[in-house]
Amino acid sequence: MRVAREVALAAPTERVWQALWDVPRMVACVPGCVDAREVEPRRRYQARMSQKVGPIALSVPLDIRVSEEGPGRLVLEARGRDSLLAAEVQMSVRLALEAAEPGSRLAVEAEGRVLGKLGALGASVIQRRAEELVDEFTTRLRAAIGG
Amino acid sequence: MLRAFELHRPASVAEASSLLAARPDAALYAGGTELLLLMKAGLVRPADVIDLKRIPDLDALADGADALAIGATVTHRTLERSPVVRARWPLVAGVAAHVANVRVRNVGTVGGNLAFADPHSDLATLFLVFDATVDLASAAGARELPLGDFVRGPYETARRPDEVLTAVRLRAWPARPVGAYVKFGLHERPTLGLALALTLDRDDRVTAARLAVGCVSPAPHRVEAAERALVGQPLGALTDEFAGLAAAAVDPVDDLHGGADYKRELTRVFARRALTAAVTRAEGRTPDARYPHAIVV
Repeated sequence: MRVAREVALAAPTERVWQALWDVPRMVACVPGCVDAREVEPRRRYQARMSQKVGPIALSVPLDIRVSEEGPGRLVLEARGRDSLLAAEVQMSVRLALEAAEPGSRLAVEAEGRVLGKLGALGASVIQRRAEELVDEFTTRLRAAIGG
Repeated sequence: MLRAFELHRPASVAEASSLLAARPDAALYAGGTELLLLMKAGLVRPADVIDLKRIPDLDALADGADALAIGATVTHRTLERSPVVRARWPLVAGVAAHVANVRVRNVGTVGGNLAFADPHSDLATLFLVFDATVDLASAAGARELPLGDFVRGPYETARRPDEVLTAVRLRAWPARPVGAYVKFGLHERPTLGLALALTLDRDDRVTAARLAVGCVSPAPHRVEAAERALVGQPLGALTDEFAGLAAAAVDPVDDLHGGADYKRELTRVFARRALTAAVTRAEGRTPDARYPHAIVV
């Protein structure tokens, strides 16, 4: 599964960058993500990700690590396992922020794998859900930072 | 392995709906060919299962002057063998005869197939060219929805948690119809399903066309641009412009059935083949073209 999106934001890069580090606010932008907890500031977090596809409900406690943090650049690695469904989720999210008209441009690139019996759903279903999640994230992010 | 659950056997749709209203996480059982696979795999673990198969009349087939009403618990096998369906709705009987395998057809139901909304459903694609609607019932009342609005995406429908799908209604085509359904696949579930229906005037000119494509987009859908390209054309002069329009309208992604480009090309090729089959039928002959890993109905 791979999703890449670019969004133009009215807010300047400093404000977007600040918002990206406002963990409760960011978590609220990710559909199905709850119970975020800071383990080590700016390094390690935990959260629960819940998704429902038709009759199948997935709930994964995620361990999230910030693997790269540079000016305007952020890479997160997340992994977790739904013990009930014996499904493993691995995800890598790259965020790149730069100044652009009207304020800034954020590039989101998510790559991930869902392992286990859940694969029976088919790669296309998982790919489409990932696209919906990234699109909804960018929509909510834009609303959260006011443009 | 199946885990323990409580089995409910309502005797009416109203009873089923009130059971559902009280237990929103209950699973509806109408044949189990999809549900039991998920339950055995442990992907779905319902505490309650509501068996719809004992509700009288839910397995009725009613052929009216201009519509066929198929009850939710009618099996594929019943549809395939019904003398009325074979005589008046041959495409429906023919496609039913090729759903999955005979074990699935014997117990799998039309309502279960549509409500599960597997993106590789043959019926959900075929029924679109019959302008199908589904009947949904709950304690709050009954409603009818176009099939295209009911199936929202992979495994997702517009059915509310307390609603039961009770029937699907197919509309008869106007005079002089010809149709074809083609499916292709190397797996248990098809990689592509494509239904084409044409109606012709006395001069063999296409007066109406319907094309539905399934399996290659998130949900089966009609392709109106391709339909428009056929209308008004004489049967003998049909080009494959419409096949290109069909291919342009699908929204495939890469998976084990193949890459997105491959699926788009498959759509183009099989749209043309469906047209060949329909034209052959219009000329009074039986389509006899054979394609590897494909079924022409």
